[in-house]
Amino acid sequence: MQNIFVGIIIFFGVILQTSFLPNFFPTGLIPDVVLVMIIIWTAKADFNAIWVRAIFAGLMFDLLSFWPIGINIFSFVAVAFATNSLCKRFLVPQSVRRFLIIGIAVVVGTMINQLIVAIGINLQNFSWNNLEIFNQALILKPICNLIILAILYWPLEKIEEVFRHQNKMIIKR
Amino acid sequence: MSNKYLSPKSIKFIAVTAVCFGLVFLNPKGFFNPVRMVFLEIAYPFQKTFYILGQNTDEFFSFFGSIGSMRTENEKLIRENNLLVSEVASLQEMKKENESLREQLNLVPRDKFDLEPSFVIGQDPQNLGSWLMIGKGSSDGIRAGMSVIVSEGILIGKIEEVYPDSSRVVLLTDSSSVINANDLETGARGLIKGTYGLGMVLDMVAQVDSLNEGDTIITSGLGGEVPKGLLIGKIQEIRMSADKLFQQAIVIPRVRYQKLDIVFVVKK
Repeated sequence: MQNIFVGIIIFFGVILQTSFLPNFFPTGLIPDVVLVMIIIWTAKADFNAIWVRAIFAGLMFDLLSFWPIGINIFSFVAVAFATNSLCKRFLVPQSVRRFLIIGIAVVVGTMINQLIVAIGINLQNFSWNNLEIFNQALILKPICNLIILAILYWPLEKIEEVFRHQNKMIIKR
Repeated sequence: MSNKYLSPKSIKFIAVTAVCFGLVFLNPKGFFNPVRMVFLEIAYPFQKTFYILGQNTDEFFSFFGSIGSMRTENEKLIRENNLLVSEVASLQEMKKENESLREQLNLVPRDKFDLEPSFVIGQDPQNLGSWLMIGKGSSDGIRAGMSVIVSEGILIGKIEEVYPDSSRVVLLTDSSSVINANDLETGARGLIKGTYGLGMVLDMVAQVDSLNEGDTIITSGLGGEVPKGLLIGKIQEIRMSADKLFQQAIVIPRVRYQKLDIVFVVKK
């Protein structure tokens, strides 16, 4: 049941990113809602618990954004792996610093995602003509994603609390 | 090998990486097209709802943002209206002259197309391609290669992929887009190529041909894929190609592709 609910959240995150947010942001600066969700989940749990969500989110995003299947799957899994490594070392229980660390993870994760997607698309075409990584999006995109982090962080935390509570109730029974 | 280097986490990551690299190279063979088709069928109603909701929200907030300038704009509009009333009679004559000139210049009359109107339901979320999703597909008679215009007869792109209820339109600013075009004023011929989703370049123009800033660029109809006489944009800047063999011109599109909500597919 929880997995289905998470799947629905990811599905609507992808729809939001491809059909709702393009009305408000210029092309290339549309926030990565799904990527930020994966980073938040990975920061709160372990990579082993999140990698399936990252694969599912990447697959949905690849399907809906018409990119080669596998690029965003790899990108999201790589970002989750990097986030998990970063958070294991630096994450603290104190909430403000915790939020800052996750913010850094979002910035780094955004840049990794941009790099992987750009290289992946060119690798598939065996062409490096369209490789334009170092543009203003590399600076502005993380800022947009940080705004999305501020919006999504506490709702997702509340949802995870509900899941934890439900799991406790199930165990008690 | 020591377990220190191959934790379960690392093994999963390496396995996913290997599978993804394999998947990426299967993509050109169209291996995943049936999966994509099914997924798009499921996602289509949600995409359409969210896109229209986004447009309406954007318009709502734009309205509040423009309240401050409304009074000034209102006064300006009253003055303009008075001028326009006196121009209406002379415009009737100009309309007749326009139709005659369009015939002479071989521009396609606007009412000669079989057009399929369609809402835009999605856009490229990244700047690595430049495309729109529209809410019409093969069940509405849409085919790959059809041209897509906006109501004023301005070409914006071509249909690249078709699904039962939706289609993907590759815009003229996409790097893979190449259209035969010519300069309406001078007749110079060239190719309109997209540049990383940011703009267009009229390339491969012979050095003996003449280009001027402000000239209008239209489709030439060569190749038969795109109808002749559709507006593309205006020349902003002229330069030589990197190899100095041809002229190039930076062309500014006539419409802002991000603000499109209704487009028309040229079926015939």
